[in-house]
Amino acid sequence: MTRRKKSKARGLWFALVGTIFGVALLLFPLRGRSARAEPTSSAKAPDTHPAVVGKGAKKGAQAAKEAAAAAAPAAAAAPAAAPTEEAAVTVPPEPAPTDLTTTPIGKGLPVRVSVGVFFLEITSFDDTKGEFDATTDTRLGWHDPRLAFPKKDTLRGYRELIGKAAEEQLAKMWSPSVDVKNRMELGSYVGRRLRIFPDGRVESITRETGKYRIPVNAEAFPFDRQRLALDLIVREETVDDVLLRFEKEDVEFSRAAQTAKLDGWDIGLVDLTAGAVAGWNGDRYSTVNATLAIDRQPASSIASVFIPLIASLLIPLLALWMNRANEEGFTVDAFELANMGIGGLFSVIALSFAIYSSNPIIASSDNTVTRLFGLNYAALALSLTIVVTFFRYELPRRWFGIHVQEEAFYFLSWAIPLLSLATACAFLAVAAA
Amino acid sequence: MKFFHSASAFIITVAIAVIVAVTALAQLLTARMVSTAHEGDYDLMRRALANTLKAMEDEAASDAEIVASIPSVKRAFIAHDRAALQAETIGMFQTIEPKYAIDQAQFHLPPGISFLRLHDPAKFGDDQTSYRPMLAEVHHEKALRKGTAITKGGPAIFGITPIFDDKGQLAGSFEMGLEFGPVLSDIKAAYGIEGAVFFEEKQLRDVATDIEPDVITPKNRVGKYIRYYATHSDLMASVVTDRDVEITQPKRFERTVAKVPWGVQLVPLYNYANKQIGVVALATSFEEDKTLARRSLVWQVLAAVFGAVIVAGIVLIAIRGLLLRPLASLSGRMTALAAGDASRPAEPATEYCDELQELARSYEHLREKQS
Repeated sequence: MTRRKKSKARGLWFALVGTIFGVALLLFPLRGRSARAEPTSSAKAPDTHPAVVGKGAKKGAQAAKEAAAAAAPAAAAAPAAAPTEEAAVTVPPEPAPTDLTTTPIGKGLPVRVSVGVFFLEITSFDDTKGEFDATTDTRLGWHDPRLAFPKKDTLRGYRELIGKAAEEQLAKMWSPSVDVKNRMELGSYVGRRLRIFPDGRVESITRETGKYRIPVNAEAFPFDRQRLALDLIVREETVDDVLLRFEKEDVEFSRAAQTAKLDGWDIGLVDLTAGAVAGWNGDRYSTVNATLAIDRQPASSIASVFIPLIASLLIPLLALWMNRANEEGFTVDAFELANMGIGGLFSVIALSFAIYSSNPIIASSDNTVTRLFGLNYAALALSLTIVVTFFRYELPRRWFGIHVQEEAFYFLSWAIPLLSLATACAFLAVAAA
Repeated sequence: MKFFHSASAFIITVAIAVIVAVTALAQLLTARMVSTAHEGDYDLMRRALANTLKAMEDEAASDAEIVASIPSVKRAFIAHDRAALQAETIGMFQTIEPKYAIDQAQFHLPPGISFLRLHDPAKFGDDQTSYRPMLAEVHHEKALRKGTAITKGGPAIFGITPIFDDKGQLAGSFEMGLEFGPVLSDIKAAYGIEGAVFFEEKQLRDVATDIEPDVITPKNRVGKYIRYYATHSDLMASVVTDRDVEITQPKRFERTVAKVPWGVQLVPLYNYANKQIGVVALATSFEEDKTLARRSLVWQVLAAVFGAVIVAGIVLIAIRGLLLRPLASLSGRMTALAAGDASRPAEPATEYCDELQELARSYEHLREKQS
């Protein structure tokens, strides 16, 4: 009896072990597939926000989308691959979650993204390199009906997420891939705030400090106006998919902070302009340029640039004023005056090196300074010509007589300074006009 | 009169006067050209506004006609089935509203009673004929009308089309209202012209009771008007002030803001009954023209200075150097000779012009005879 019970128990034991082994064999491939899927599905979500304007952020967005795309097949494969297991426990398959990272087409295409830029602080502007550092708030707004939620779920009328929470939320949803085309560097701190309204409206504000490159036009130096610009562009989606634009609220949002200051410059108004740039195969990408106008305070460059320039203009004039006409010709020898002119030439060359090396932007364009240097060289050339023709060879006397030479010398001694001064003033007046 | 000084001075003065006159004339011509260019700019602003407004009115009218001609919509409206009408149209409205700047859409029953507001379905049944002459006329004339109006939902550009039943009897009307902002934004995008639209505060308070509360604020108040929309708020607030908007006819002026001169064109805005309801302000930068004109003035003045100096130089060198000074020299010698001093010979012949060389030779002949 006991032996029969023992053999029966042994039989049951073998059956149990055999069943477990058989089930394990059946399950092994399934476990293997799940195990391969797990690392992909649990890929670390990027902690940067795609909507927020930056290459790093953009890569994060791409990674998030790729992770989401990779997770979707895995999630889809699991219920399909384990029907027997699920049938055994009779658990209904979970519905696939809505992929919020795809373009929201609920309101049709293109998705209109409103843009506003607030210049919080202008730290510096290097007009020689055409670079400026600024802290800005970039506000993007769009509509994603998939994010709509009941009004009663929030007391403030919207859901607000700040900092990391905002980034995590943005990684899980679609946001426009807006980049700042002219940004060179992005500061370490990037502040983000995300608001989602019950009707699906999304508002993203990004505060970031960056270095930006702009073209500098120094033609009107030192009375020039420059435009500090943020060139926002949609990188991956064409105007058929995403369109940047600005509305009344964005226009009112886009300004410089009242406390914003920039040494040597007056802060002006912010202007928004929308446009598009051409891509491959006829594609066009939407852009919005936010430009802050700044006017140079001319007084700061008078001492360093214009006083030396005007002073150097006096050197060739001295070569005229130092001499005097008499019945026999001139009192001062031409050699001494030529020396003065040559010395003036070297001083102007040295001055141009000094000014151009400290302001390269001036050297590379037509502006007041280069014109004044030109005037200096012209005055020197004229002065040396007079020294040679009048004082050295006395050509007017030989050709027209002593009286003509005297009259010509007296005329030139006041006419050349007058015309030089008038031309210098005209250059400044043209720049100031 | 001493010829040595006064002749030169006279010639130089006349030459300078001619140069100044020519410069002034050139400057006058430049100013006139700039003024003509600005006339063109003002004209462009008026035409751009008129054309864009007309295009928007046409768009509103065509949108209204398309919706009103959909058979299911028409059936529901004629049957006065508000629920069916709303179900038929609300999705369409919500889809196109944000994309095409559609502000309002409404069905009316004669003579002008709201039947269904797609932008606010909960509100209906109010008679609008008292403050909406265009709507009243659509029902009276049984014809499409379009234009600007202020309604409960705020100012918009409307197209209203009548809806007829199968027997050809007027069943009501449908209107589509487009936002004002895109009109100005389009003008800015196309022509670079900044714009703002102002509506009478009293009318907004009396009629547009459903507009956003942040519209009628002290910040937006400009005289008796409220700045309803602006493409550049800070700029337009500086360009158009309280006194400027009090107009009944188009007006234009120039104003400098942040060192930039702006040409401003104000155009009164009328509703369908030709009652002024607001003002549209358009502003274009004259900076480039003005800068070019000022630069032109500087160059012209500089050219005049060069001209005057060169003329003066020619006069001084030619008259005094070739004629008067040699003559004075000979005259001095002649005076000395008359006094019995024959010690001073005439200067070499090359010092004199041909005409004076003869005189110098005669002097030398006299001096030789006396000595």
